[in-house]
Amino acid sequence: MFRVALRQSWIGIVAVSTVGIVAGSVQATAFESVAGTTAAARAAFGVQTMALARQIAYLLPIPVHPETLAGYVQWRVFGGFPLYILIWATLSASGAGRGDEEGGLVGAWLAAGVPRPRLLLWRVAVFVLGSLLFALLAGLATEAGAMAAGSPLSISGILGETIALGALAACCYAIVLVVAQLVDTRRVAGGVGGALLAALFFLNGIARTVDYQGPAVWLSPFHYFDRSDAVAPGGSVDWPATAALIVIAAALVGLAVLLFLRRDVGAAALRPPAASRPPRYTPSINPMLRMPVLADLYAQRVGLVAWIAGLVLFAVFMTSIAGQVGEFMAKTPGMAGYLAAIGGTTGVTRTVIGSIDYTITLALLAIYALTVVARWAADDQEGRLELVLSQPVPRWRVVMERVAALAIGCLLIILAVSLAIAVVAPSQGVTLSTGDLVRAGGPLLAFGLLFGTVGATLAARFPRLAVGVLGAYVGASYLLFQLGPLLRWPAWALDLSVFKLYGNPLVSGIEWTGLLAVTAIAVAGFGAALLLIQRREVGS
Amino acid sequence: MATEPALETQVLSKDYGSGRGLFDLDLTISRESVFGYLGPNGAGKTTTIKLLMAMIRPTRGTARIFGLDCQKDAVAIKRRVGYLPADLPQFGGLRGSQVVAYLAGLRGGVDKLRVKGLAERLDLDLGRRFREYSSGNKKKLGILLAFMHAPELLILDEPTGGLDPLIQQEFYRLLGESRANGATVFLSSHILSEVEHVCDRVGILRQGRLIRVAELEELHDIHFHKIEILFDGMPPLEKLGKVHGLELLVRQGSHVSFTLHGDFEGLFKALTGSKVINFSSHEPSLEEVFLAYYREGAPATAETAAAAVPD
Repeated sequence: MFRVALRQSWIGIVAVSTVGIVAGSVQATAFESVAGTTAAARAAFGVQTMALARQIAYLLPIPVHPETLAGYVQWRVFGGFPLYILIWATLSASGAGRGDEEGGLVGAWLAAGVPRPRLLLWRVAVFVLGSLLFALLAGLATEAGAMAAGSPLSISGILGETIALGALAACCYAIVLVVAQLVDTRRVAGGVGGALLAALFFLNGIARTVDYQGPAVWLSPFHYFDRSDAVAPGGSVDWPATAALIVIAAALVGLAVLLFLRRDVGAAALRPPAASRPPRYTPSINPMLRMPVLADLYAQRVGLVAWIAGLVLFAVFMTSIAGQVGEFMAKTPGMAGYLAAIGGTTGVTRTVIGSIDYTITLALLAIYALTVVARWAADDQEGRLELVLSQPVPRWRVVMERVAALAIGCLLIILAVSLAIAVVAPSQGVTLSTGDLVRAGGPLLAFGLLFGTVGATLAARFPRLAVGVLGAYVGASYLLFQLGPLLRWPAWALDLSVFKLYGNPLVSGIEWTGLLAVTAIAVAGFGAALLLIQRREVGS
Repeated sequence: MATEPALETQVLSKDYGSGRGLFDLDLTISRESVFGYLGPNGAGKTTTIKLLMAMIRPTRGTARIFGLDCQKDAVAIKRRVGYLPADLPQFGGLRGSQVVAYLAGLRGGVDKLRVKGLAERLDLDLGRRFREYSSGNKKKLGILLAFMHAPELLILDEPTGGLDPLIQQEFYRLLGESRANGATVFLSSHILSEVEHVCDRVGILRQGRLIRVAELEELHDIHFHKIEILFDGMPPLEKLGKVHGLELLVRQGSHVSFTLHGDFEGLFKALTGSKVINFSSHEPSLEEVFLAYYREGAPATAETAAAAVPD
């Protein structure tokens, strides 16, 4: 069962570890460039970082000695890992608790004689081992970067943080695993479990922001993890808090096992009696289902609303700290080059909104487009496209409808995000006109369509690889764009980033060359997708 | 043109390599007939259907439905065709009523009353979510989707798998009514009793090749007889071994059993001089005929069979 559990989890372990290794090594390596080399520069950097950190305390912990490399990576690297764990545990535990069941694997394993407790316990064990491996590798990568910078970290501190993170991972995983027993689909398990973890995460974050130390904060497992700062100068592992996390995780896993033992396979542990209703023999009268494009949007309505809500919240948050971020950059000598690269030092807050807020929106919009592409690939692989094409529908219409639905989805997201930024920006001393919003938001549509059409083309040939490859490209592009100027990477390397083509239209106007290039690639991708669907075999 | 056959293929082939696929299929199905397409798993039935539905491209050859090219005129053909795949894809949280509305919306012109009538006859509650459907209910939904627009040609891939006997009978009645209304049916199956029940003609597919097309009665002509004889004393094995068409001879003491293709003349000659206590002969079911077609390896000859007789 260990090998089975590992087979189900290895992609997540490799992906998260890779991100952790890159983040750890890059942050450690970049420290000198950002913080400067003189004592005075580092002291100024420490002051500015502390001010910024207080603004974003609901995301990251308050740093300890951020003017030192050890304090900085404790804050930026290890302080950010709970967010990774939140997402990873949600995806992994909802998959283990429900996804495998929906796919029929759990039924097959139980029929093969695997006891239910063993099935769950191995999944938990592999996830915890995976999270320990992730934390250790990321810590060692950070250490490598720190050694290269001449400020090695404490190995015992890294090991201590690894153990604390493993305990947090076990607890988060167990929470979602319990939720997965109470509901009947992976989607609901992921949604409810993720929302619960996010609520616990922000409970701790808000407590940090307002310096609340009351009993409610102890409901959040993230608070227990926060109490350890073993990598920071003079820091340590809070062993009682870490032990408490392990005990809570064990109790929750026990509860999950108990619920799993008591419920039917395929059913929720909590199942209200079905309401008595007469059978229905007529088709739905929902007009959206019968209209081209709208039917596609209706099918993704829950996801689309979630994306819009998530991106709006993120835009509100990022815009609300734009002034502080701008001040941090302006007053940190090491950030001068970066600031110049993203739009200049005049109107710094506007530069930050135009570059950072919109660039992050662009990255997230690209990921949204890729999730839509993943849906298209699933439609093909799972036979839904075959059933659509068994109706009198030309193949090109399928592509047209998909791209039109994607365009509308992107447009709704862009409109909502632009509106949110426009509403919050005045609180940071920036007023955005309709022209500003169109200039900054308009080009995003072309980028969304670029990833959608290129993704559709790749997915037609390599359905399993397309989303992963494009997702990795989005991640690498973002890293190049954000870190390249800081680390003074060569211009040709920076040009590889798709974000370079976006520029900062809010400050310096639309990068027409870049926009035309993106539009041309999107049109070419659209043409290729049209051509491929005419020629390709469906359901073979 | 109304004189065109409902379905016609010429040298239709799909080569997946390693001997897998469909090879040189020449088939004509007249209108208003029910054609049973028989073959074991992997014989090429679904490949044929996917070629007809233009889901995949032929390596060579052509397929025409109502005189229209299956690849070039796929959209026009699908207006007139109802298709049931072997497995309906997942629609997760959508309700049956929403799946029907979505696909009916794509097709256009579907009569809601006909949908209601079909759902009632199949006893399919469209108010439930797709993921709550049993495999039988999913199959019912597939049947409803194939029949909802009263198509001129029904292409049905393994249509009754998972259906309970009562619903199977309802399905057969639906097929009969469609045919009475002028529809043609192309039905793939590996259930011979189903084919016997509803089809006029049968095609047998083996390893990607059509090895026989026949009327249902005609198919019985290729039957063999299963014969058992109880002798008073030793059976005349040497004589039996020389009988033309005699196969699979097995002796247990003074009792022998074998199959016999062709007429009985040679057998009766071989029995001359032997005292027969009991003689029984019966026609095999279509199932046994079918299995005989698919028996791996060369058929055992009377000679080799006789040599293999245990003492």
